[in-house]
Amino acid sequence: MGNIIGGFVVLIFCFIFWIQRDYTSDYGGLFPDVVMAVLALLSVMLIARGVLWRHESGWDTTGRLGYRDLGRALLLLIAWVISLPVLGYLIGGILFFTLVAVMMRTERPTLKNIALDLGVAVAVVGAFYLAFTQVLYVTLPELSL
Amino acid sequence: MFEALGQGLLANLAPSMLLLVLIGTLSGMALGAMPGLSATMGVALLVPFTFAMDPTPGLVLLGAFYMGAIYGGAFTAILVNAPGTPSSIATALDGYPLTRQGRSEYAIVGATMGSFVGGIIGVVALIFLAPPLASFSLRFGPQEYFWVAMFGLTIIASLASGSLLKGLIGGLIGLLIATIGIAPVGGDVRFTFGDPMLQGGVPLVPALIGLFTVPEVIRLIALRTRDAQMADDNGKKAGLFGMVKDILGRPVNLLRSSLIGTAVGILPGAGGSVANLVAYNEAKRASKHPETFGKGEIDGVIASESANNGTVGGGFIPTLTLGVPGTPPDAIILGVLLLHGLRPGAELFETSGTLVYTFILALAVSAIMMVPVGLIAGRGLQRGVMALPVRYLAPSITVLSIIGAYAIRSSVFDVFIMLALGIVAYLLQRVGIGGAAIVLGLVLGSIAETGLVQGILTSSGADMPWTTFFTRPISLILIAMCLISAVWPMVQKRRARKNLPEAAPAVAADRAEND
Repeated sequence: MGNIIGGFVVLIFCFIFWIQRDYTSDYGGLFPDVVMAVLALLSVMLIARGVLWRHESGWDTTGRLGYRDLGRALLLLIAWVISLPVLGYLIGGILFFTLVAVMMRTERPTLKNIALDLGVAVAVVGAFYLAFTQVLYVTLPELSL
Repeated sequence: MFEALGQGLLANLAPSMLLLVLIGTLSGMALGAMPGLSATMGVALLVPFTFAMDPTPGLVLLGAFYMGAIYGGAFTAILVNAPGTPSSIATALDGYPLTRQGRSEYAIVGATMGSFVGGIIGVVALIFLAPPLASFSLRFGPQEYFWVAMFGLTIIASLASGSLLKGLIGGLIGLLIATIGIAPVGGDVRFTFGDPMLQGGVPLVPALIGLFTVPEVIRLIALRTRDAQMADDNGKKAGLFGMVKDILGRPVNLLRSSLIGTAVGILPGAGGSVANLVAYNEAKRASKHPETFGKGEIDGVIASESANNGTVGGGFIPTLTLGVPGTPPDAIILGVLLLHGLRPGAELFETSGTLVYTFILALAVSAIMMVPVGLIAGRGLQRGVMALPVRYLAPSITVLSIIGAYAIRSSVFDVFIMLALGIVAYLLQRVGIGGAAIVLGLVLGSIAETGLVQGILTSSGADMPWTTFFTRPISLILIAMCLISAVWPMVQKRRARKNLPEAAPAVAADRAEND
């Protein structure tokens, strides 16, 4: 089933690119069109493989994660990145660093544990902030509430 | 030449110069270790500091910094699967699996010794082979660059350990992503989905972080634990000298990879991002046990690191003799040379011989300094990362990834690209399409497209322009190399399968005798 799903996902990916084609020069589409055509052909072959060799699962089973754990991880990362333009690097970083550290604890978090995680978050995020903004002169996203 | 070389050597032995090289190497290593801060960016940041300096110490500082930055990229590639620079992509392929096995210290030592040998061989080539190699590199036209990119893509045949079909699909996805933005020839704006931020294309470093690091962070946060143990914990710890001896006991791999790095460095525009992948592929192809590559094979780390540091010396060959920079940091250093009124060419070696050789030998001194500095700093970093509880490691990597993706263009959009590619890479991994093949396509896409279109345009007077890709002598050699590289893994697999039925009865017979 993994091969069939994988093949269809790649085919949709090709289709999304295909409908975006809008070339203005003679050779602008030469390379991407060839790549898309070959990619579509290979994804059809992958689907055919999934249909013909049903005994082959097509899934990579190494390090498989539970849906709940995976959902939690994705939610935390997406929320962290989406909040970046609003909360900025420093505030958002400290907030989500602490949140991730607390949620990754296997035991029930106590007030003392949360304070410790917050302290580590301030130290790590703050150290990177100072190194990049004061030493390397790289500006980082600021709070814009 | 030898008189200027001697004077250069004496200048390098001065304590002030040694201190300068040490500072350059150390700061380069620190910068290279941070994902998102490339050697090019670091060298560019350092240029204003050298304005107030004399040309010799200024160039020495830049050269040492560059050498250190290329090496520093290995640390994060090995320890957290985040290649610090695109030159360390292949280092992560085996370096991180070694970390997961609790052998990160071994990987760090392998990277250090590989970088040292690569750096030295690149410098030796720069000293003795610069003029003939530089003129040969000028014979490479667009057709040859197209075939160089195709040669790089044949690595997919080696990387795709599970399924060649899925490996090819991954590579093509990378090639397609590489076409996003303004076309390298013709200037068409393609596949931007209406977003002007995509006109500049998908930036390589955020893509690298997304494809390699984000899936690992997802796994760490979801599992709340890690597979990697410190080497001390599982009783496999070997002494430092034992590890160094083991690495140096692989001279063929060290030499071959360093020479590949030097040769690729000479080609303008290719650089360490291509060299490390080509050397990795060749190391796997030449290995007696290719099946261990990608699962924690030290030869993979050695090949990648020898090659990328080999490009430092190699890249300076066309830079100093022809004024054609081999790699992007070379272009910046070329600018500094011109700023001081020094014009590249044969004349430079005659009129400013002492300066040129002081600079070249400073690269070698930097490569030598990388060994003690790298072994102390690199192993210290390794122990720090391994001792860090996983609940702090995962968010620390995320913080560094966000900065790395953001810093290139100071754009939050790049952080979104990193996360989106990371999630897509994780999901594609579930169906067996690995991130490494996608990265390969992404790195080589623009080189392949530029070569293809420019090759057709430059031969548009011919009846069939595309035939020029198959008739030029160097192209023919490259085509032969592509075919060998693509077919070799299949030959190896077939041989292994053939040997298996023969070996199995023999093993059974041995066992029966022993019983």
